[in-house]
Amino acid sequence: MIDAMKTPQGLWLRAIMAVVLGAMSMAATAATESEASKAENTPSEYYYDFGKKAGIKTIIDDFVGVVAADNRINQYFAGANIPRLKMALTNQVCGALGGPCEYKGANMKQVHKGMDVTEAAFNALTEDLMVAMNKHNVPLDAQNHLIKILAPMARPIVTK
Amino acid sequence: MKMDMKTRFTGRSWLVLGTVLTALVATSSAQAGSGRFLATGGIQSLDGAAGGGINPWAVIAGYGTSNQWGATASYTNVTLPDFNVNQLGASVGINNRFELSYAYQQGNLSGALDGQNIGQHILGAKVRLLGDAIYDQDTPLPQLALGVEYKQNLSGSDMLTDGGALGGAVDDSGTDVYLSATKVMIGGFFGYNWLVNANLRYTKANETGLLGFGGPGEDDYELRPEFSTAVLVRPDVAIGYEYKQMGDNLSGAGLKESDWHDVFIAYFPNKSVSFAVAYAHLGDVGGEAIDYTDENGIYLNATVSF
Repeated sequence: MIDAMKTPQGLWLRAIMAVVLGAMSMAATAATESEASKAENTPSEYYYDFGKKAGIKTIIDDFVGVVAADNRINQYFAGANIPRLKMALTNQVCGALGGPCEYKGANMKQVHKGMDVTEAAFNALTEDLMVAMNKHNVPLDAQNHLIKILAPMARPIVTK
Repeated sequence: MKMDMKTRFTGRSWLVLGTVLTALVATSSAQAGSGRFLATGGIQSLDGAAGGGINPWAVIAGYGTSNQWGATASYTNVTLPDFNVNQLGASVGINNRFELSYAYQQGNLSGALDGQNIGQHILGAKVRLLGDAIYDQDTPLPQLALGVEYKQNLSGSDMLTDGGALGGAVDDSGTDVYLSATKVMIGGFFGYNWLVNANLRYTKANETGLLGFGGPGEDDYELRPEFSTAVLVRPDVAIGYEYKQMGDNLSGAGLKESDWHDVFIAYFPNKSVSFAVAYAHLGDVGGEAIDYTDENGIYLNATVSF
């Protein structure tokens, strides 16, 4: 390994490692920045791309409809209080985008405890969210911004 | 060295097939499924492993999640000025953790070696060690995988080894080991999803094994880097670049190997099928010794996922 670093091939190796480490530190910086903006609760540009709280509410209404029709996952919501679910999701998304809303429910781990949520179900839900966002012409960068925030929630939510 | 390669390979094939079946039975609680996101299985690359066009990635074949299994089958064609290569491949991904793959490559030569054939079998296994390329958006850690590829060249010892026309490799078979790191940065490239992959391959293959393994005076394993990057300009379209370092084991026989590069576009209309087209720059494949220079052309791949 040490010898390999000294060869011309080693130069490539170092160049590639530099690119990868650089890309990762950029990603890490971006993550830190997004957390900082969340803390200040300044609405991100994406909050406006979603049409502010009213737009988010409309998208969540449609999203819950898509989920209800999705046989892959609708059994998870059989006993759910739908108006309450819609309100919680709207506040959660609005807050995640830096909007003036606060999700007041229990944390993700507690909310999904005992539901046996699989990775496939978590992903299916995300795909349904994309369907709803596409229907309302949310720009791709704004969709990706939200999904980037939601993706790590798989860890507390997925238990099976 | 003189034993019948195909017989030897067949024996190993049964061993691997047995291992695959055992693994499937052992994980029978897993169901066939495609619960992962679109495009996250990559395509079946030019060694059978899930990844890009020419490099494996740390992703596991198919769309199976941690309690699903998936599978793929693929056809690849690379058409260059003096030869073309056709590949048939199949792979199984188990629990988004293990991958087993097989690829059969067959090449038809023209130019200086007109009418000759080359080829190889590649049996691959990959295990995801840690990390999740998609979920780990709050950490810079990549998804890491370790892979092994056993390759059996089919060109025949009169051509391949013993000072044959293909440069005189030392062995007609070889085993590569590689470490692969893949990171998907959601929204990471001007709002588009961005994949970065880097591999380190421990190998002594010549032109990935198509020209055998080792060479006159150069029969040691070495570390070679590979790099891929792709941007999803739409959720179903990826545009990317790949680099794969070649060795110089055959330099003692006067053969030159350029590093490989390609630019590709891949289209994933749904989770069942994908198509990729690339401009592949293989450069010198043997070089002036067999008059194979500027071997640059079109790469095509269709991968079906189950």
